[in-house]
Amino acid sequence: MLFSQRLSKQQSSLRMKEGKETLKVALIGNPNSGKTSLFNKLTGLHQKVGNFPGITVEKKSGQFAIGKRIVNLVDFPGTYSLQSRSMDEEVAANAIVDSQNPDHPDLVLIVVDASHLKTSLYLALQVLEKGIPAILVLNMADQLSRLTSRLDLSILSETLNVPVIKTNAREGKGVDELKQIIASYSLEVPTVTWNPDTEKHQVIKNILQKSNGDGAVSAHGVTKKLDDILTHRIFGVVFFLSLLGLMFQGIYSWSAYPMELIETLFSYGATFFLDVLPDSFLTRLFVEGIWAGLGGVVIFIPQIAFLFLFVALLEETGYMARVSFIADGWLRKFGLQGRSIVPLIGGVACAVPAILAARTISNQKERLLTIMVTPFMACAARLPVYALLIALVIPVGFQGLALLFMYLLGVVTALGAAMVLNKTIKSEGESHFMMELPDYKIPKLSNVLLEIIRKVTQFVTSAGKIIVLVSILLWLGASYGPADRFETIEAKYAQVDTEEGEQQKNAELLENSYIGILGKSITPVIEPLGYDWKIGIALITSFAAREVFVGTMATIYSVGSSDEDVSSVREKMQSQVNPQTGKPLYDLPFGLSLLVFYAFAMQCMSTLAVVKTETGTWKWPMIQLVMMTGLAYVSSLAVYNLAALL
Amino acid sequence: MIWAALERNICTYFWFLFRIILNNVTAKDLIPGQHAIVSSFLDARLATHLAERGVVAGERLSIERVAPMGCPIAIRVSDHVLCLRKAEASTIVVLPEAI
Repeated sequence: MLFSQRLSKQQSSLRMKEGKETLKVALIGNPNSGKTSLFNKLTGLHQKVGNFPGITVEKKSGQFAIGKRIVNLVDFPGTYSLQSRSMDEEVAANAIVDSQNPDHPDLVLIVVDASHLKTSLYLALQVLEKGIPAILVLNMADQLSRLTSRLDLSILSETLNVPVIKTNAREGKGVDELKQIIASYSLEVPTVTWNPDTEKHQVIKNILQKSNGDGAVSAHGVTKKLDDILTHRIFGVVFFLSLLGLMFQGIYSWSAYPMELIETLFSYGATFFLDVLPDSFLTRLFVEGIWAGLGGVVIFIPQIAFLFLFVALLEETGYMARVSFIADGWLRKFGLQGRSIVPLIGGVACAVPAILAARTISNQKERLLTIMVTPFMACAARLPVYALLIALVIPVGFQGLALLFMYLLGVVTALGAAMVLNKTIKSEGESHFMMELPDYKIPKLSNVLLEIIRKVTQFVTSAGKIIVLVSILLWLGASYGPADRFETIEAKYAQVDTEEGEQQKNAELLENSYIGILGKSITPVIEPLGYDWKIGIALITSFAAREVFVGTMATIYSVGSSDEDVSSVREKMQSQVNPQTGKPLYDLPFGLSLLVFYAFAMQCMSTLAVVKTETGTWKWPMIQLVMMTGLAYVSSLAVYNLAALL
Repeated sequence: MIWAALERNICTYFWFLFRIILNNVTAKDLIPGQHAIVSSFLDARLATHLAERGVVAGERLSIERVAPMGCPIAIRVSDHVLCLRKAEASTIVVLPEAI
């Protein structure tokens, strides 16, 4: 009775397609068990990344065919048990325990690290007790040929009642044999041969004793010696800081070359399309809206690739766990975690890839805090704005110091905000720090490349869509306005043919566009901060990217549309006189107030898009928008009034 | 016996002995290189998660290393190295092997 019930359940869950049966297979294992290496080897490039339904835990799934079976493989996040603790671990537990779950597998591949049998069999026993067809995969087998030569696989297989196979996923050894076992596996529910009520560690001890796997001590020698240096309180910290420096160099300087290339290609493309296509609204929508929006997405790819090259290398070698170990003592005071340092440093270049890098933080609250405060770091897009404003109002001898101060302001605010948010945001679940220090490994290039590809595609397909959409909206708002106003301007400049006239026309068009009107309408709100309507317009266009501020000011002051022309914008702004006082319009209080505003305000739609896709809801980006912009408003108000008093 | 006495001054040493009698020494109080046997846990929920990672009563552990800031600490236990913050380590009651 019981048997037939089980049988019918299995058969109903198997779907036939073109004479082949489709099999849902899950990869379950401890973190660092080599699960993802095995996943990469089994699926190759036939994989995709998404999220598990309703939550933001990364779901890697892929497909391969073997014999008469098509296998849909899902790589579940690493976990130590099915008694869920964090959101990551819950996913695996729910899928296995609940047969109604869409990810409930027909077969589980339990991946255990062959050098850590004693610890990892704990999870294996839990899975087997759930009565689900399974294969035990002893991974990284040849690293420990010493152990595995003594370990009797047939006894292990007999005791656990499931097939046992040795693999070395990184080298690809044993992967084909594993596929064969999957092809011919009967999918019977294995009978549990031990009493599930006994203490599991006792069961494991007995199993390992029977199969000669006990007393196995892994070869930690090299790892221990390396750790003596790499986690040393002086050398370790020096090495760590140099590594961070190198990472920063990568995303800040090296990625500048491919980014320039992308910019050039997209602007060539735009010129080409404008030449070839007829001059119409659709053409402009395509070239200036969609094409430019796409360029705004593609431009992030070099930085994302560089940052994830580093992150994947750190993960692959096992050094990432040491990053946590070294930096945790400093960062936990602020409610962050050791690994938060990677997004924070990355944020100095660009918050978009940095926020993607927060995925390595497994604790959900610490990850959320990291995502929330990373945009405070002084990103590269703020630099042109800082440069313009500092050159405008800060005396020559103090300009370098002022720039340094702006960077420090970013760091201090990020940490301070984390501290405040840590007290305000309620933590779901417990916040414990328990992390394994895995053995060092030589990184596998294919794993690193696949990780980069996964991150880039994920960014383009999720946040990329939002960025393109908002770019189009911003373009529409800046290029179009009420028809009567635009017609008047067109008529006024109809006879003018000079470059100067063209620039003045563009300035008037922007002033009368929808964004221009919006910018003017917020003037009462920003007047207390010392800004006029021109700054209002620039604040709104900055939402595309902060550096657009400079270009917008150039357009408004009709000094040519090229963004690089910083000095002419500065001269023009410097020469503006306040008609009421007769003093310079853009004075020190104004400059300081705007500097502070740009340091704090959330003005980047790309960041908001990434925060939305990384947290799964619009709630957090909206909180970020209100929190950061609110802080910016209050601080700028205070700074403006204080500076005006002095 | 001797190295421990040298590492800690004599008062701390007797205080430590006294705490062992009271079953009051936790993994947090050990120094790098020192071995101990896990005897019990002060936090039941944490105990489950520690058990998943191979930390159970009767298991032998040693302090592998301490982070530059003094926290977290790395413990060698079962067949791997586990990092814990001091708050978590202080829920593992241990019996030091040599003092």
